[in-house]
Amino acid sequence: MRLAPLVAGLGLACADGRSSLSVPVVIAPSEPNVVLEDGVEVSFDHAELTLADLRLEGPIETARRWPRLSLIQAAHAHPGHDAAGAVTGELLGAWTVDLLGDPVDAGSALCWEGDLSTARLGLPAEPAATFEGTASVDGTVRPFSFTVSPGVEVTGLPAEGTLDSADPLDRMTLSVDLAAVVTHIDWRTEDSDGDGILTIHDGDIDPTLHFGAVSSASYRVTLETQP
Amino acid sequence: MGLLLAMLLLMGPEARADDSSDDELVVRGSPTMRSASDRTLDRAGVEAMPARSADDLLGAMPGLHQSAHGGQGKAYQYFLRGFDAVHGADLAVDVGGVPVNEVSNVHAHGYLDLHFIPPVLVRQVDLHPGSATMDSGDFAVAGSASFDLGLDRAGGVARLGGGTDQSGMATLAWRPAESRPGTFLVADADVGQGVGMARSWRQLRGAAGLEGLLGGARARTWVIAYDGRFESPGVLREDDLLAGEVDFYDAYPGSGGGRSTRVLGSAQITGGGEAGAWQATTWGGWRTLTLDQNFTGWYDHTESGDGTRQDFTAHTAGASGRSAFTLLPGVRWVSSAILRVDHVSGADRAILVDGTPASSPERFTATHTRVGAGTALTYRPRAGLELEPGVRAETFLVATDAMGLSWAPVLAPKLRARVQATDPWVVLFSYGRAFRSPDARGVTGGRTPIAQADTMELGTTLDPVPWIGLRAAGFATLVSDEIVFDHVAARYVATGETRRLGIDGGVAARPIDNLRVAIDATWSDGRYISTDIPIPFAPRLLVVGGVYAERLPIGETELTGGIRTWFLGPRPIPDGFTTTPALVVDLTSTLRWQKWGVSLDVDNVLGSNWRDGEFVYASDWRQDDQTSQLPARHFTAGAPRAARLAVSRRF
Repeated sequence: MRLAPLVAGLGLACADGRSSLSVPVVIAPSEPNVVLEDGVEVSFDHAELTLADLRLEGPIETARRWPRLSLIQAAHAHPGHDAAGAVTGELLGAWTVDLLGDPVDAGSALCWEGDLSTARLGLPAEPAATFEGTASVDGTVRPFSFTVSPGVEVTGLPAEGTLDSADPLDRMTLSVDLAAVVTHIDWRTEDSDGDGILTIHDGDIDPTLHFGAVSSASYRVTLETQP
Repeated sequence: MGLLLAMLLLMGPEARADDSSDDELVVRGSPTMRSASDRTLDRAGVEAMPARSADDLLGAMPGLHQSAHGGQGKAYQYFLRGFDAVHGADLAVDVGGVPVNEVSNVHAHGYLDLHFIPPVLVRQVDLHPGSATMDSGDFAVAGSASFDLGLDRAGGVARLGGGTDQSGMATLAWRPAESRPGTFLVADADVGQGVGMARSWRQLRGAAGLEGLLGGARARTWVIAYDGRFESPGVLREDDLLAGEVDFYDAYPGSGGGRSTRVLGSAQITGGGEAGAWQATTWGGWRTLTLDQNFTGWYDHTESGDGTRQDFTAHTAGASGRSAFTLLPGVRWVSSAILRVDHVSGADRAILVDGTPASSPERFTATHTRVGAGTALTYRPRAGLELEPGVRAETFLVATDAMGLSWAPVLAPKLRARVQATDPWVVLFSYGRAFRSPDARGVTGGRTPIAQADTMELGTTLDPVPWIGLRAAGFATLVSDEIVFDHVAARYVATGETRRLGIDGGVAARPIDNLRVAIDATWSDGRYISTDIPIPFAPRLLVVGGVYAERLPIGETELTGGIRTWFLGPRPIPDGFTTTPALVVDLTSTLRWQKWGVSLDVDNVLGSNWRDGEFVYASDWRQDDQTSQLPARHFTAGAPRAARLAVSRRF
């Protein structure tokens, strides 16, 4: 990585239309106890996930301001399907995070000032993500231990805001909503091996957990200015 | 002869002829009907202009800036009055009446490569910003220019020189005694390594011309052959420069280069009588072009690299005619017609950093046919008022294997008016529509839309004293389809409807004979109509000032030369970025004594590290494991400081 020269290079650009800035990124701890829409209460004892390569994107208008500039036309955006704009900020690296622990300083993202709309985030397959805890389902406590290897890049993370070098941010926070990660799981599914612990081998937990883990709804980037 | 000259006087603005003597006599059709921004360089003006090639001479056009981002051999990129005219898509040029913009060139439609012209052979350059002349048609969206070829003086000249950029040049030119300027033999070689990396070039040119009387008409024919090889330094990342990992004039491996070959010939006959004058021109030519380029390193193809090779072959042939007749006293009718046929074939393929092909070529073949005619009527309804309404109609036929036949008709109205308010004060108005023929890769069969530009200009000239001339003009241009270069895709792409508003002004003074001082300034604001976004890459402010000696006697010697300073203000580039302004001084000088001459040319006298082009996009020049997708600023280095000294002798 060549962050130092890039910082210097971006710094020189201040007089050239769009300034650059460096924004600290913090991976925030997640809420360990969540209540799902169907009333299931999930308590996490362990939640570890590897995140990588955060890329911030401008609004689609930025990329489409010359409607036919691109040889490959972007899809039209519609509700629930956001078309990504150009990359306008980036923090490369990989971070294996205990989501129930302390906030993690991931480094500083190098950004061009301007509007943000969405973000992209890598979810490497290795090391695998692990989630352990209990779910209270209709008065029954069901322990679970899940391991999943997403191996994909999540796109369309909400990351709305404006980067302005004249009004710099204190930090950018990346958060993981564990409720969204596990909300598609059928917690009433049968424990197939009868050991009392739900795993990804039970019912449709594997695909539904995978779906939640790679869903853009499970992640959010927020821009924060401390008072 | 006097009658012939009188008839030639009635011909169109680009028509000119020379008398049989060696004394220069330039004859123009409508010398007064010009816009405030038109400019003509005669041979003395050509020699006084700091220019190492015929392309550079276009820089004398008010509001025109050019960029040589592809090295010495690739067509320049032209910027004119708020236009990024790319490699010629918006700037029409003819050489001796032969249109030389290349249709459907694999690198850029309208590709304008003037390196084939031996600089010694340029007798005159006429520059016309805007599109109001009757002949302004295909590619004249931002303006047009005409080169006249010939040798000014009879006899021979040999010129030999070299430069600090490890360059060497040699020229032999000969015009027989008692012959006309269009009779010549020229051989020309220009080679060099350049300053920095990947900037070498080798250009060989040969030309022959014959001019004489054929019955009662004047006949001219010429042929030029050219072969050029060149390296291209391409782009550098600004962050690499600031980190000291590259120097300003370095190049990344596999940055590119190419080879350009061209043979072009023309025959022209001009005649006239009591009723009017006429001129017929025919031409034919062949050219090949190979361009290697890589603007993104290993960004898209992490193993093989993003290098591409473009190959292009074209055969061109055509004929044109023009005539001028006096209908009534003070009323004249000028008309012209053109037929041009081009058969082109091109190919794109991926290459490795060493130039080895890495993919099968994607080929295209097309035949372009251009059929057009124009007419204009010039008359003076009353003293001090001159009007010239006109119209031009053309049809383009493009036949491709994939899409069959496509056609694009266009009608272009013109109007010029000149009001002589007082003797030294003139008001000029012009309106014209120009157009850009369809690119073969953009047609879909059947009737095809054609990009059109409507330009209106209101200007004035004032000569408060005989040796000072002031000019000013305001202009507005609407373009139906703007072309922008996408460096990532290495393609020019159409982007939509735009408008430009601008002002252009200048002052020129001749404090003493043979010495000219001039300052020109052009400001323009170009935007997309639907979004109000600035047009990327188009210049906003260009100021050019210079002092030019045109055969200035100094004792027993004669000095021709000029020192030219230009300032290019920040230009908008995509996604809200702007470029770095540039201030550059260039110098040329030739001191002649009897049969000897010594020339000194200095590019970039101040030695400034100016940036010829700037772009913001993502790239990867190191094959990093983690490829950054964050756009970074890239630049192409402008011409470094270099001096060239040459000695010439007439015989």
